Amino acid sequence: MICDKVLLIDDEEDFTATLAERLKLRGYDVSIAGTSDEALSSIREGIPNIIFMDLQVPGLSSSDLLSALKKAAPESRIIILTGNADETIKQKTLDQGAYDFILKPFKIKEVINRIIDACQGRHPSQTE
Amino acid sequence: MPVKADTHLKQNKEYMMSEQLKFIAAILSIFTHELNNHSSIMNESAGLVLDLIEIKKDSNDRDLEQISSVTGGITGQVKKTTALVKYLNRFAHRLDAPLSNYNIYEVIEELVKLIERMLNQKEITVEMDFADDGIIIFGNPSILQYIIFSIIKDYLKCLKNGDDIIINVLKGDSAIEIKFQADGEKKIIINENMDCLEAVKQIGASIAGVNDGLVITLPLIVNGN
Amino acid sequence: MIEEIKDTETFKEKLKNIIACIKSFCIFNSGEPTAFNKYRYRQLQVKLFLFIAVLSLIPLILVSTSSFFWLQNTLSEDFNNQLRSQLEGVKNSIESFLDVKLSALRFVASSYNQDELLNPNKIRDIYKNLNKEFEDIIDLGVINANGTMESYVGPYNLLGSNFSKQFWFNNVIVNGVYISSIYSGFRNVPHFIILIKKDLPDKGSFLIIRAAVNVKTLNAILSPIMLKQEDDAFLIDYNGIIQTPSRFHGKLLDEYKLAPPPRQNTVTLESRKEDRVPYMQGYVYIKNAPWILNAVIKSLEKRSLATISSGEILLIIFGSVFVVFIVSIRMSQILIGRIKKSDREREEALKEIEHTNKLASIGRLAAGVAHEINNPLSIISQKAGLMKDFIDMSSDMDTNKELIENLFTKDKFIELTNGITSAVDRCRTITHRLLGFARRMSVSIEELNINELIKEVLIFTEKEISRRNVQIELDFFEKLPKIKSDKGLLQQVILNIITNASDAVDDNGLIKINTYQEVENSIWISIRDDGHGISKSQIKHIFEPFFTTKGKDKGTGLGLSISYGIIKKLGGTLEVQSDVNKGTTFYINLPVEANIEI
Repeated sequence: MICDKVLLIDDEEDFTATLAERLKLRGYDVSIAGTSDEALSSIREGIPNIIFMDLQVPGLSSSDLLSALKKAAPESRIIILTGNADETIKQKTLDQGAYDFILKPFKIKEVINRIIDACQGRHPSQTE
Repeated sequence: MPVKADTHLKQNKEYMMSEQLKFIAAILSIFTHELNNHSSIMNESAGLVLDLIEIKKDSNDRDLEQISSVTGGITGQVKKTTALVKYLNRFAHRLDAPLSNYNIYEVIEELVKLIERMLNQKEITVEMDFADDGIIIFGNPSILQYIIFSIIKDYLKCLKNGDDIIINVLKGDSAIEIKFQADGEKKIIINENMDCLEAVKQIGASIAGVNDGLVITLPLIVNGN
Repeated sequence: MIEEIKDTETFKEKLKNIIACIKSFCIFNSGEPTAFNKYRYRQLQVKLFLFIAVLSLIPLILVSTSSFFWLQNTLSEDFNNQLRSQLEGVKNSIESFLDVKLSALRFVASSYNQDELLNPNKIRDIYKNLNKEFEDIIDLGVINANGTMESYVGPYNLLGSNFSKQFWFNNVIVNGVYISSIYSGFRNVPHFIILIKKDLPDKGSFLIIRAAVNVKTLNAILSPIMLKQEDDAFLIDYNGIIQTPSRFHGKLLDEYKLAPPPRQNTVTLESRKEDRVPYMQGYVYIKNAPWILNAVIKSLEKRSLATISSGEILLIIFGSVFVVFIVSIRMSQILIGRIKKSDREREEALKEIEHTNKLASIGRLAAGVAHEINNPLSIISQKAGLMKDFIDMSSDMDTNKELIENLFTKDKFIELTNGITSAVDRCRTITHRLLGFARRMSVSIEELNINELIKEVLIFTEKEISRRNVQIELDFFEKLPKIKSDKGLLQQVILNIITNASDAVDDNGLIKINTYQEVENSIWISIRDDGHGISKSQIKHIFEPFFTTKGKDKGTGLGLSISYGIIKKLGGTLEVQSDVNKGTTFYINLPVEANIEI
């Protein structure tokens, strides 16, 4: 399966733009969304394989957004991006259907690895 | 509040509270300066990249390599900063809840990392000699950090450049001992003038001088019992 | 053990304190007392002492007064009874005295016949014998039925005198015996007459035997009552004529100023006053004689509890009062000491809570900073990474050269490095705030621009507020004067109120922040939200510690009470107005000049 459609949801434009560029350089098809509305309309235009979602996006609460995303793109794997390493939040989002979790700031390699693992249906947590 | 040369005053709660606040202010200040340091480096590196990019991209590899290494350097700085920020985060969260279960090694390491800059100014290194992975105890980690900070500050007054401080943590049956030793013959005299005495009392610990240093004895309360 | 507050003040300071204490007692001290206002405690202590002392003294006074009166009463009665029995005794003595005389005369009457009695020599003998026994019988005479003195022996010239016209003549004929009043008679020797009738049944006639008795013995009988110098006891007759010598109340045979009392068989006592000096008047009628025993007793010391035991009474009174005072002082000291102690402990506890809260808010702030920094760091990381990508990939054979060609430009790099620089600036701003906060952690007064301060606080809440799309409307008075206050504390308060406002509104709600000025020396800040409001019953408690309308897990309920305390400490006021479902407005008033409460 070609697994190269990525949706980045984060309100820090500088960050998403740059990350998108880097991913594009590596051959991924990247869409960006700065709010939950933008994210959902982006999905309507095309379902991504992997969704990277920051926990503090304007619009819906993170739980609501997570559920909405899962509803709109059930097959997509959602990876949570955040600077906060709180175990309880991590567990909560995983319980709510997130596939994985990655801490900001990260190296591009980590991102790529996560994408590959997600595409292959492997939870990195299972291999750690 | 005017501080009299009255040792009795150093042992009262108000003094301790204000000292604790000063301690936190110091940590934040050190952190800030360190962070600014990293930021400056990142800025400089970015500037350097800009300078270097004047060179056309199809110049020799060596120049490009240089740019590459500079940008790598920036990323490296980010990594260091992130680590520092992580420590601050942990430190800050400890202030939220006065009592909690905490890993004593983490708590000491965090403090030492956050004041590294202050230590580096006097070229003092702190060696942490911990027996195993970690001892979880229940108590007030923030005050323990204040106590350790206060002791290290006292050491700094009498150590000279290049000296070491060694912190040992030993676990006994009913108590944990945190032992401080300094290079050579340096000893701190335990007297009423120590800032940390009230805090030591507050967490139910005791402090004593030993042959080669001093020991804080923390009675063991595990998991809130 | 009760803690005692050690007083190391010098005497001068103590004096000043006492004066200030008295002053503050008289001045009504309005306003809330701060916990350790010494004078407030002294005032309270004095009031408490007075209360306890008065409360203790009242029953003491009541009991001792009633005991005193009861005892006094008993004592008076005792005295009266004594006096009464004394007078009775005297009365009995007088009556015995008279009885003895009467018996003697009756004996004479029955022992001797008419001839013997009328014989001058015989009567002289009889008299001699009588006189031997009774020195006070002055004369002896025999009066016949016609009233003529037929036989007489004595100093007076009475032989042959006729007494039939005397008022006692018929009296003695009827009664058989008569005792007269005392009179001076010849030679001014006071005496009285005893008369008895001797019946002569065979002659159908009678004789009257008459003896004059000297009052000396009688006077002597009266002396026991007169032991004390101030006392006076004398006989008066039914006409009020003084019969025996009186010390103070008139000469012999003068008329006594007081009318004779009604006839009583028993002693009557009256308590009277003369020129404010109290005395007891006692009188009793004497049997067989027309006399009334009259006593005027001024020596009443034994009657008065005060005089008897004045020393002891005073000792007891003063002793008790002294004990009451000492105990009251001690008790009030102890109680106030306890109050002070618990006030101090409460103050300490509140300070500790404040401190813990302060630490928590510092912690949250620092943690917030830590979170915030991650964003610019991520950006720097990515941008630097991208630059590296370009360079690495351009020399890497595998990558799409065309793609790189288009992107890898000088402008791109400039853009990226600028991005890094601005991200670094962001870090700087964040840490600058942190540093500023760290510096301000001890209370310090500085000149503040409140409008700017509010804007700074809003940055902290920016993320949360914009995430939920809450609108912030700022209406700042541009010419708002700078005020002297503590920046950190004010920020804490405003942050607290804005956080509350933010919690109260729904998503898309509105928070309006105004600054304005009404009078020259103070400024106003109002923070209004259009959230769910606070009900009238809750609004009363809103500044109380531990009161919260949020759920169990949302906050300790200390924020507003601490904010209230902070504003008060800074010399300002914090008020709230609210309508349910319409919204809430907090009003902060701050003085322009620093007015810090210690």
